[in-house]
Amino acid sequence: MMETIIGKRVPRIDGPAKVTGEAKYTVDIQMPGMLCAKILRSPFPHARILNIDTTKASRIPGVKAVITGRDAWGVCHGFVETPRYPADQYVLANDRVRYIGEEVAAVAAVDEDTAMEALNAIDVSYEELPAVFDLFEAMKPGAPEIHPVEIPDLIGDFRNIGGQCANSYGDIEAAFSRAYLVRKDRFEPELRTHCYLEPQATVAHYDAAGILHVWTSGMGTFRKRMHLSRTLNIPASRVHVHKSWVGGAFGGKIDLFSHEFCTSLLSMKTGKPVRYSAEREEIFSYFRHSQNMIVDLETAVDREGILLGQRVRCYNDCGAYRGSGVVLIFTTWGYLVLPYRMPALDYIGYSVYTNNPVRAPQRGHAAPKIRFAGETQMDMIASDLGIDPLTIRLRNARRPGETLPNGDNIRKAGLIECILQAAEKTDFARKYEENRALQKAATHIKRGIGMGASGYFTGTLIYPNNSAAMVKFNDDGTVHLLTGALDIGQGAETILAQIVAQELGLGMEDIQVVSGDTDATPVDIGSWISGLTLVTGNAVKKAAEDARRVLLASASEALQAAPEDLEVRSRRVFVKGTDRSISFAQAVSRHIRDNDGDPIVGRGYSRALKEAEFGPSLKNAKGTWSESYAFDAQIAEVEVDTRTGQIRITKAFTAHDCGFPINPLLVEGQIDGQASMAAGQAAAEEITVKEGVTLNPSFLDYKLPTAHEMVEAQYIDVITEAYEKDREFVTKEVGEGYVSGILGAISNAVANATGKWSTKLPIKIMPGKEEEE
Amino acid sequence: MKRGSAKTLEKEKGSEKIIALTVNGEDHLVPVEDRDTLLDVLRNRLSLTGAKEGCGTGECGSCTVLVDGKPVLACLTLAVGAVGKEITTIEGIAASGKLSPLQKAFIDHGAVQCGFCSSGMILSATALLSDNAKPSRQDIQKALEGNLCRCTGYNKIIEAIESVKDKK
Amino acid sequence: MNLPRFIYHSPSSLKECIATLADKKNSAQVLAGGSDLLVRMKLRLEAPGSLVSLADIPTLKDIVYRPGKGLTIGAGVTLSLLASDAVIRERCPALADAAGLVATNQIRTVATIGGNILQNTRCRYYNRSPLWGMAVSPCFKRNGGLCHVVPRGKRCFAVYQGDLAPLLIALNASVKIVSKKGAEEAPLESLYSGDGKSPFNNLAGKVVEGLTIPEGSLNMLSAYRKYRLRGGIDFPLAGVAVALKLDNGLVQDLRLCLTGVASRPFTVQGAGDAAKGKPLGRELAREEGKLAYAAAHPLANLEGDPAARRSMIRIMTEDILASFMV
Repeated sequence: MMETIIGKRVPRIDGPAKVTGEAKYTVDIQMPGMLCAKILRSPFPHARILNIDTTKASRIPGVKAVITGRDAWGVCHGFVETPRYPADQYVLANDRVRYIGEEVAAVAAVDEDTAMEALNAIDVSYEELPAVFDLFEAMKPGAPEIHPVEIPDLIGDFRNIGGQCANSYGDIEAAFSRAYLVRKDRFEPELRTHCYLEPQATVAHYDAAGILHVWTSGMGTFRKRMHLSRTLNIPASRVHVHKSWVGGAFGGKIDLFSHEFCTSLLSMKTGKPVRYSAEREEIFSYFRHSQNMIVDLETAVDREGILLGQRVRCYNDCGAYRGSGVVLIFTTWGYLVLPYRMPALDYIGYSVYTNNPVRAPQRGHAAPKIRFAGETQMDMIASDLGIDPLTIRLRNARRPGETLPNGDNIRKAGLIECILQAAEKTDFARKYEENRALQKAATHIKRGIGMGASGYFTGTLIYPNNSAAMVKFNDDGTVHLLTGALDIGQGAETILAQIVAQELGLGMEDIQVVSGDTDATPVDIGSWISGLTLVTGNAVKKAAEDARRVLLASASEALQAAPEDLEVRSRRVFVKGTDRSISFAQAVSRHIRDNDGDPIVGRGYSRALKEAEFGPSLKNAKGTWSESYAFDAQIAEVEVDTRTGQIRITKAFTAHDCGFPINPLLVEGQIDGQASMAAGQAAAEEITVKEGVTLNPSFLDYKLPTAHEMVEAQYIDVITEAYEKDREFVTKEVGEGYVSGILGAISNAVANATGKWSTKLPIKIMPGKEEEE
Repeated sequence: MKRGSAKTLEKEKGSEKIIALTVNGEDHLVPVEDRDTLLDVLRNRLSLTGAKEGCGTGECGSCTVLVDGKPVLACLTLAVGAVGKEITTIEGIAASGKLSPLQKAFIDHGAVQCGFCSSGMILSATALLSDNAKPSRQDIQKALEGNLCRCTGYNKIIEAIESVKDKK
Repeated sequence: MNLPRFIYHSPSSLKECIATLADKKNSAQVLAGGSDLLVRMKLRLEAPGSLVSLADIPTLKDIVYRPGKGLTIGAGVTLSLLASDAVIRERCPALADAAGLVATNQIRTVATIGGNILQNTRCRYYNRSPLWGMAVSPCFKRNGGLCHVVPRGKRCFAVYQGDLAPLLIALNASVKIVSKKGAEEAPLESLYSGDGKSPFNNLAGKVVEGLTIPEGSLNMLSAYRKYRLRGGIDFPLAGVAVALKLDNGLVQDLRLCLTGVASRPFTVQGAGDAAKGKPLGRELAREEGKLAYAAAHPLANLEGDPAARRSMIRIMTEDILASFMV
């Protein structure tokens, strides 16, 4: 039997580079003669640009180039670029600015001081326009117009609607009229932000041959190449996006950012390497925060707590440009109907323009917001009906083989199993009742336990739609894996190398990974729509199988045995059941000799939603979304000091169906990170924006967790799929989905401790309130 | 655009001096301005880019280095003030090419994800363990309170440090 | 993120230091650990022409206990040392504990007690770069003419957030200030002006050499508590220090000083009078808590709800006194 490396706790292959300081991030790239780029930003939330005078700035000694919207060909870009939602954001402002911090001009100079001096010397005259910051104000007739948009199927008399997603099915009136209980609640999760530790940075070098070399801190090099080629108006083949290590992203580095365009254009103008590196305060203030959303959730249930129907309105303030807002209001629908059966639905999501900074996806995107709402309300309903949280979830949770309203099948979904196991392993039922009984006890230290469930998609159709990989045999019998995947910290390179090791019977040390380089590696979707392991993983598997097939054919002749009688291990090909073997090196050299110099190179490719022509509709949520869905049930335990208002999240338990883990060590790392991010979101994190200005733009003011806030984590895998030979495997998402169930769980745990639900995040308990009451 | 005259640039640039810094056991003569931080000099003059700038204002800990064995923030340390002191960066922890037990534990326990905080994290933990071979969980959390990590939730970092501590 | 240019001086004696300061006039600033000043310089909130470092003056690092005279701590003693030094731990454990609550391990390694007591006031509208400031009209502390926190305010309400001063003030500490004219001893409290914009009374050309906690205070019960949203890193959103002297179970002296609620370390007037002669008990704790609450007026210039911060002042005051009852 072949040794298996799939499912092993293999240490990450980039570990040595990262613990020794050798790993080079974009900010670490140094080139002789490199210029420093800086960006001039709008001081106004909404204004017309009357004139930009760069004469003085250009004359400063040491200033090499100054660019403005005039140099940017009036080109627009967007997170979404479709006929319904055309790109709405200029790479550099043209005639108008719509938020504080919008990019107006950029300079390249010999050093930082000179670049700053140049920024100060650029003279921009603005005519201020009325601005609007509250999304409901922005929707009113008579609100200042931020973009001249028209949604043809707009429901309601609203202004500034950047996007609308409406979906209804089933008999909603009947559902509500036969309901035993209807609950209507408004949920307002806070505006949160990513806090990737590595600042956004870009290095660009336009070389003498007219090739633009780019290193940028992103989430997928091919997508950045597409955006850069389009906005710079040069062929994609002349943009070479190199790999550099990425210091965290969490969704916040996926869009094209103005600085990436500016740095590139500045290099094209000067012919010199140019580096831009954002200051942390700049990132907090002017780069993209997470999307925010207000959720109105009206739910009809029968006496048993079975969901009959929901009327849901979601309002997303996407800021001054659409960003990912129009995707958010679609995926909100998805995460609403994914975990529980919903017989009738009336859903509308609006994405609303305001003069706030633009927003981006953040880990889980819509899921944490809608699941916080859904899971909290689920417990409220249970409490209203006198049912326990476990039972109500089991009554509604989707079972294996169910079909979603869009026609997707959830196949071997392990949600029920997750809920049961999570409850059992944490002694949920007993603790829940015990805590509830103690809500009114004299002590001000209360304990709570809460449950949340969630589901998540695994890859969908969006550019680039495919992933391909190559496995090249070296003369010594080791291999190089060429993949366009980008490791942003999640361990992509490690699991892809594991797949190659598994298929070829090699050790991890025998595999070198060349990744994320748009010239050197085949195309890849990148690390951002939760499909890397499924889509890229299968591409890599096929490439390794292809290489093995050729290797075995060569060995087969040498060993005088049929390929199916051969097996690979320890860099050798054996005739099964014998000690007759040749080394990989011999087989490779033999293949080259016998085939006119042809080396062994395996190719593989894959694509999400192979059968589909298009991805899901952002307009009405119809059409297939994903072919593999992950599920989880999570349980949080908290300690609440009702006197000081302090909430301590003591435990996060995750029972999850990820199909099967390729590397449990990395899966656990993903869960830990999500539990931590959810804990921060539940108890402390909140971006405060006042009239378009971020008031807490630093790690001191924005309360992301420190080592003191570590949440003890436990996990259990519910295995529903397997890795098999000569077959595509099915894995399920692990990088984003688990931020949501646990968020709902924490919210419910605090309610279990205190008897009070919070419909807002972060949950705030006013110190001293109890005594005053 | 006019060409800048060399003379103006000279005036703008401020005066440089040569200082001797002892980094990872080696003496370096480096030209610095008074205002240069130790982080500027390590990264830009000595190409020791293991220390990262995550914020520049002393809040994230990514630039942590050891000065005379104690963890300090290189972004808030003047290079001119570091003369005569022993500076250790992450590049000096596996100087002979062999990973320290702590570095190895970080890899084996999954304490590294994106890696941007790792240099500072490992240096803070190295300083802790050299002061206190058997730190409690709280001691570790306290020692790391100035090193932010957004990937790991700190769980596996603390686990890695505890695994090394147990071996001592 | 670079610093503005300056000339660095590192005198090796206090005398030389004073001379350098006098020579450079107003454009010189004293540099201690740098964790406060250098950040403000990076944000271009300060741009002194010279920095005079105290790092090479050995006498500033002394910790001396003299029976009858009290505990004298050099201004250059780092917070790490303060938190761990055997003499401090023995004579004034509350100070060691308070030092351990400041900022982070890396900051405590370099930050000094002198720097900490002279930490500048802070505000969410002040501790920002010019880039952030471009969209926000300059407030008093940024040399403008308004306050964003108190829109009709006539002065700056930036808040003092030092962790050590309230305790040291409760302990009646004095500071030794050295200038060209010689040395003078003054109550620590007298350093603070109460104005958010310029929070210290004139210290130009002067150096704080050290602090002394008088013998009488070392026998008092004392403690500091800090309210913040995370277990580490953060400045106090509110802080309470109490020093208490009991005589046969009755309060002889009680001093209560707050941080994070005003532009200076804020001594609660009348706290001692209200307690004098009373037994230390729950009732007194509640009474002192109320006094502290009434005296504290936190504003929306920091993270955290001002009402929550105010309530925490009361709760922490009660808790400190309760801890003395054990």
